[in-house]
Amino acid sequence: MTAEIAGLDPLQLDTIAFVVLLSVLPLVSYGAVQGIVPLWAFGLALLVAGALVPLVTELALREDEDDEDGENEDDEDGENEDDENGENNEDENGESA
Amino acid sequence: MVAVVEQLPVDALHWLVSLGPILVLLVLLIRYSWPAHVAAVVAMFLAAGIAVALFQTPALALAVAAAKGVWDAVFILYVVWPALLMYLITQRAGALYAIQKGLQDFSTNDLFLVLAFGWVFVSFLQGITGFGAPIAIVAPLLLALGVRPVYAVAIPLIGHAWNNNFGTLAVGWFATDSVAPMQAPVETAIHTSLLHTIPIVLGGFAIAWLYGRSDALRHAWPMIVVIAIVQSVALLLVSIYSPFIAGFLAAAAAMVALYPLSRWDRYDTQHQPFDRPAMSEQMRQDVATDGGTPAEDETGEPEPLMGLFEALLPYLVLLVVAVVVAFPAVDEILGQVEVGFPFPAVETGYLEHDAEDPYEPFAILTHPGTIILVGVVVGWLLYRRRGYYEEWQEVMETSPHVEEEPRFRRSLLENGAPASLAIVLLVVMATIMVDSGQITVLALGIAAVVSPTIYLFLANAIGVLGAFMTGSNTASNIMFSPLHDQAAAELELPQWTVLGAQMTGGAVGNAISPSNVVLGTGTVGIVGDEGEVLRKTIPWVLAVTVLVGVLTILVAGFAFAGGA
Repeated sequence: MTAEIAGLDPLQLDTIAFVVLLSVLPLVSYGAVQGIVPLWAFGLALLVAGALVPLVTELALREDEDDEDGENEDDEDGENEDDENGENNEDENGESA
Repeated sequence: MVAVVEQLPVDALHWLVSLGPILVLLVLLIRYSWPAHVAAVVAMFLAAGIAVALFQTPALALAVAAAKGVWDAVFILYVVWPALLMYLITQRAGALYAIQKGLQDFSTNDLFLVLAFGWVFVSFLQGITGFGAPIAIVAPLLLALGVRPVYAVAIPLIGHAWNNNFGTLAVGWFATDSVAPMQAPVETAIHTSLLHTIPIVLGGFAIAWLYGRSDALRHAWPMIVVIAIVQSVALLLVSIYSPFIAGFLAAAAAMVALYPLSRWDRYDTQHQPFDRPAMSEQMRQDVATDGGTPAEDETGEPEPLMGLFEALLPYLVLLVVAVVVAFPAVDEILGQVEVGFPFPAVETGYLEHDAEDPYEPFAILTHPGTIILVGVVVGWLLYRRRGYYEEWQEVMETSPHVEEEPRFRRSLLENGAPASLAIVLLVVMATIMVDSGQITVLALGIAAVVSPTIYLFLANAIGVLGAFMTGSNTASNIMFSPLHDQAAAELELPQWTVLGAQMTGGAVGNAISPSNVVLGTGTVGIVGDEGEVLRKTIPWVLAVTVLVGVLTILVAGFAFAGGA
C-alpha cells in the first residue's frame, strides 16, 4: 500500500483535518453570536473541508491499493514493464499515482 | 431549552429517512469495513442533508448544531488525549512491562494466570487506556502462556468488555452525559453499575469455560466469585462518588485481590490435569511459588526496570488527585473556572433552540482530563529523573522479547488522530440529528410501536449494536443516547435505567466488534480467523445481552416501586 498521498502521510492529513474541524467551533460561535455571516459561513465551509479530508484520503488509498493489486497480478504474468525497471506506480516526482 | 414550533412529522417516511444516517454508518462499517472516522463523514453529511431537505434546517442552525457538536466532542477528547499520554509515558518507561511481570510472578497455575491476564489485567488496562490497546497487549501475553491463538484473542475480548464504559477513565460515561445530559447522575451510576454485574460475572465464568469446560469452572469458581464481587462492589460504590475513576479503581482493586488468591494453595500451584481446549501446550507441573520471585529468568526475558509500586505510581497520583478534587469544598473552589462558547438562538422548521451563553461549559480544573494530566506530569518527571526512558529504549532495541515501538509523537498521533476524528464527526452527526428533530422522530416512532417493557429489554441490545458497528463504547453512546433519552421521556421510563442499559450494551458489544477482533488476530498472527474468534465471543454477548435485558426490566421495576 502506498503510504503517502501527494507527499503527505495519511496520519498528517488526519491530524490536519482534526485541527480544521476544531477551528469550526470559535468561528461559528463568534460569527453566529455577532451576526457576521461570512465568518460562520466560513466555519461551516471548514466543517465540510475538514470532513472531506479523511474521506478523500481513504478513497485515494483504496485506489492505490487497487492499482497495486492490479499491477501485482500483472507482475505474476510477467507483463509489467514498469516494475521490471523498478519504477512501480510513482510519477516523476516520486508521488503516488 | 428547546421549543416546538410546529408538530414534528412522525410518519413512516420521516422515520425511515431519519434512520438513514445510522443505517449508512452500519453498512459502511460492517459491509465495507470502512474505518469509523471515514464512515462517520458520509453519515454526517447524510444527516446534514436530511436536516436541510426534510427538517427545514437553515444553514445557520446547521452551523450552530455542528459547532455545538465540536464543543461536546472537545469535552470527550480532553479525556482521550491525556489518557493516551498516560498510557504512552508509562509504556515507554517500561512500567506496563513491570506490571505484567509482577503478575506473572504471582503463580504457576495456568488457569489462574489465564484469568489474571485475560480477565483482571486486561480490564485494568481498559480502565486506564482503551483504543484497543488492552487486546493488543494481552493477546500476545496469553499466547506466550501457551493459549491457542484463537482463544488468546477471544479471552481478552470477553474479559475487558465490562470495563469499556467506566474504563479509559469513564470516557464512555462522559460521552453519554455530553449528548444526553443525565437527569440523575447518582441513580444512573447505580443502575449502570448494577447492570454491569452481568458482563463481569459471566466474563469470568466464560473464560474459565473456554479454558477447560466444567473442570475449569469447578477449579476456578472461588476465584471468579471473589474477583467478580470485588469488581462489582467497587464499581458500584466508586461510581456513585466519582464515575471518572470507578472503572480504574474497580479493576485495580481486582488486581490487588489477585495477590491473596495467588497465595492460596489452590491457585499457587498447577491445577489437577484435565482437558484444556484453550491450551496448546502440555501442562506444566510446577512447584509453588510461595511468593518468591524467580532468581533467573530462564526464558531470557528482560527484568523489569522498576517495582510494582513505582510502575503504578502515576495512576496512584491520579487517584489521589481525583479523590481530593471530588471533595465538595475543593470542587466548589476549583469548579469556578469554567470554559465554554456562546451560541445564539436558532430555529428550524419544527424546533426552536434558545441562545446559550455559554453552551454546556465545563470546569477545566476539575475536568477528568486535567486530573489525568497531573498523573502524566508526575509520572513523566519521575521516570525521566530515574532514566527509565533511555534504559527501556535500549531494552526495546536489544531484547527479542520486547517489541520496539514507533516514536512517541507518532504513536500518540496514530492512536489519537483517527479516534479524535471519529469522535468529532460522530458527535457532530448526533447533534445535527438531535437539533434538527431526526432523533425525536426516531424516538417517537419507536415509542409508538413498542411497549415500555420491551423497550427496556431491547435498550442494551441497541448499545451492543452501536459498539459492534463502531468498535467503540463511546461512539455507541454518542450515537444512541439521544435516542434513548427521548424514547425514555416518551415512554415515561426512568432515563437513568435506559441510559444504564445503553452504556452496558455499548461495553459488551466491544467483544464482537470487528475492529477489535481484527486488532487481536493481527497481534497474534491469525488474520483471517476472525470468524473463529467471533464463534467464541458471539454466544457470550448474546447471553449477556438477554440477561442484561431482563435485569434492566427488574431494575426499572424497582425504580418504579420507589427505589433508586
